[in-house]
Amino acid sequence: MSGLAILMRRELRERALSKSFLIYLLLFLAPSGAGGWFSYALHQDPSALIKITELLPPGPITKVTASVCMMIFADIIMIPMILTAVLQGGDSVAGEQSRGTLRLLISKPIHRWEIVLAKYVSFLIIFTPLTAASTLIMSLSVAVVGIGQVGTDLFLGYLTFFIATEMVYVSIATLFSSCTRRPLTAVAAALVFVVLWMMLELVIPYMPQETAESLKVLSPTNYANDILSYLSQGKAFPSIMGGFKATVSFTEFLRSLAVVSALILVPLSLSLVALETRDIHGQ
Amino acid sequence: MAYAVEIVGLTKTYPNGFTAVSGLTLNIPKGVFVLLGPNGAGKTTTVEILVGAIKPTSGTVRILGHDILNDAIEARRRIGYLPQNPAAYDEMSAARFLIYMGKLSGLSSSEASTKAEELLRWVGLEDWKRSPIGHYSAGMRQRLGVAQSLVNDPEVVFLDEPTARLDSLAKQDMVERLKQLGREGKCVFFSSQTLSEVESMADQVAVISNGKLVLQGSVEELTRRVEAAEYRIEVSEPNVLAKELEALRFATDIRVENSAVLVRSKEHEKLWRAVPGIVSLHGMELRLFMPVGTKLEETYREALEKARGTVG
Repeated sequence: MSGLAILMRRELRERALSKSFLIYLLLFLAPSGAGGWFSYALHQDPSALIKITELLPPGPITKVTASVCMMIFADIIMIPMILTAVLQGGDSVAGEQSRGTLRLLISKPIHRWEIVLAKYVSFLIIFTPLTAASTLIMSLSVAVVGIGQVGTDLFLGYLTFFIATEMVYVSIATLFSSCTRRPLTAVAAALVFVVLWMMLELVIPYMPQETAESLKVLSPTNYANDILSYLSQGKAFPSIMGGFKATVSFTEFLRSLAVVSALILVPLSLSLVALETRDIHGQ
Repeated sequence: MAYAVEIVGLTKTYPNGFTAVSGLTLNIPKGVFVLLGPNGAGKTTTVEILVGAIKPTSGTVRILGHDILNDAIEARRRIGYLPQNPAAYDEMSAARFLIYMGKLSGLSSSEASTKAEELLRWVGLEDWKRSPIGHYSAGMRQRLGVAQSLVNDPEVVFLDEPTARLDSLAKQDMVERLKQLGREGKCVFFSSQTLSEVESMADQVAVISNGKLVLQGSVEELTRRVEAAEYRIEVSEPNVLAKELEALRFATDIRVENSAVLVRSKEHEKLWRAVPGIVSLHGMELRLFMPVGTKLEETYREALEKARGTVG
């Protein structure tokens, strides 16, 4: 078995059997329940939806559809999802350093990049099924309460959107973990990006179209939104809101895919370089 | 002669300008090799460079002919390493930890499992093998660390102060185990600040101070270099003895402390013959006559003092 496979096996076992995994399970699945309940409540009384969305530039959303419910669900689940990604990424290299085990691993006949990659891939193996399960539960809830069917395109669009967003934040947190070698510092530094980007995300829909377009360049979620719009064939966003486009061309989709890939690969590559080139001292 | 570890001109300067190791050249044969030095001498930095955790600023290191930078994986396949603070995964059991480390070192699952059982017996942790490491005492963690460093049956093992957290019995036991490894033909590279266990076990000793080599040789060679060992003589009339010793040309640095006379001599045998004669002549009671510290301690102290420029 290669070093990468041995490292991954331990990572998977450690994550899946740890007590914190139960918390993550709850964090991923509870929002589906909350989203389902919220959708049912809106279905019964759409006035709340109108009140929440009345400040949006295109006007309030008046009809509770499956895509509106999925949008609400996305807003709910993004917070635990991003926090999980930041905590897991921040602890990756820095956690090994703080335990003192990084030096042990380095003294074994394995490549340093295998340590980072094993942690990254293990995260995806564990959390992708959780994300899929959460999205599926939400989609089924929407259908069960009688709002309508969430089609395959919308489901896959959201699933890709969630996984891409998680991957971006894990990469960024892993970079800070590899550079600072301190779990708390790494998590705090990654959270600065999270807060900045979330604030941008909240502001963009209320901006005039021109300002929104220029601000959109800075927000990774907007590139993920483009991917979602394209994959869901325009069903994700019921109307044009600020910088969000209901429909996205194939060229725009490819461009956004390239930007999201870069946001994943560049921090990950830099974290490999940081681990490869920087000395590893004792605790 | 083929050396297990060849270090040539090794230097490590940190970005803040501090040089931890400076032009260190050492050829280390198989057997037990002890790197001695006071706190901050550069021992841990040297060991961390040898195992690949720290990259040297300049110089080369070859382990069994494999360069640690250009042929790192092959070099690391042949080594074992115990860090100064033995680390492990607290939630794991000792058996699982050793199997994991063995597999990372290139052993198959069954080989790692067999080796883990054998080593846990060897370090006396067999009864604790299923308990989480987080429940272990400092001494148990140290013994597990030593087991971990030997899990791949390495030809060269680097141990950074392996007896530091052990009580005196466990320390003696560990020294015996390390001597056994040396006799089996492994290169046991052992860094230490304390000399008591070194003299009985080391085949070769090197002393570093401020990152520089100040002394290297076998224990026999180094103890022969002792210029003037110190002796403590406790008698009923220390002032009389001190006065008599002052007349002897081979006795120097004579001083009286409480009921004891402390004296230095380069000619040990003459002193051993003279003292009983003086005691008998004056009808004194001789209560104690022994060297202060070991000869190696004297060599070590002299080497460090010379390195600091306080001697000669």
